[in-house]
Amino acid sequence: MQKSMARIDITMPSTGYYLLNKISVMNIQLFYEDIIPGSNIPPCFKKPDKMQLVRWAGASGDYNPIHYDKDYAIEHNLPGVIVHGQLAACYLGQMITDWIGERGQLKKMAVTYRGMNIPGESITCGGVVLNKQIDKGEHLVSLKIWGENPGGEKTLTGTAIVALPVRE
Amino acid sequence: MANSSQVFEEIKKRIGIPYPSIVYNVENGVIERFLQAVGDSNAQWRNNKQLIAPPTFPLILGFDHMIQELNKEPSLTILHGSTELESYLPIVAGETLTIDMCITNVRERGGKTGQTLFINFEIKCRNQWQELISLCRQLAIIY
Repeated sequence: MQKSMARIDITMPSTGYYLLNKISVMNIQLFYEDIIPGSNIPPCFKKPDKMQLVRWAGASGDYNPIHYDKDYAIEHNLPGVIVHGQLAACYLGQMITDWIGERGQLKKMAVTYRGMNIPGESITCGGVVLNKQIDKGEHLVSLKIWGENPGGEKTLTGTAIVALPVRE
Repeated sequence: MANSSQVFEEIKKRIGIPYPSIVYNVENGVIERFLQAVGDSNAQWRNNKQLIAPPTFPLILGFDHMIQELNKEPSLTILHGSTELESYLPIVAGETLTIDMCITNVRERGGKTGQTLFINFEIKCRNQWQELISLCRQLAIIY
């Protein structure tokens, strides 16, 4: 079992999580046997503000002006500064790694950026189990994943494959 | 200042030609900044003295370099189309990574606002033992 960890962005209990209180959940290890195709992944809620974009730019080195210069963004026919696509992709990655636990492994993730996320607006990350299979001794689970803006538009969609441990 | 067609032609000439490798020394601080930028508080990355990077960490390796290579003309807009990540091994602080980047394909399309270039590029990350850590395939859109 993993150590408990603080998460202020998870508010609903679901498979793999036990809600302790509003700011803390205990993440237990997910096993291959636990997986039911069609079931939802516990969602992850994010609301990146401009400061978060600055942090991401600093961490990633992505200083494309469309992510920090409003005038430049508008001149380039964007609604204003937009959230880095890869930051949103990493939110999906976080949703997955929080769900699968320490012994799980995110093996593949593919994301298409279909819309724009605006700083200050929420991004709701979600996913569903597509199927599970054993391949070359690995216990693999395929996922459909997405990120939604407050209007319900899926601004990024994709798939992922994780490997999970089995119960001994 | 180059015009867009000159920039596009230069990018097309780079197909299949690797960029010089970049060597990253991954320190705790680099991983910590990444975790804070994502807002990832999962304890599993910080359980040990040497931090472990989340599997999405390689997405940032070399990406900044590629964007700078592609975005040399300020009047052009560069957007991100898609990301594919294959993750093979975890990255632990203290490792030395070698990043290899290459444009794999370029498509050009005409539109109402002019020409648009769709650029596929690939970024491979290896550790100091030459083990493949990750493979990222990215699509950038320039117009």
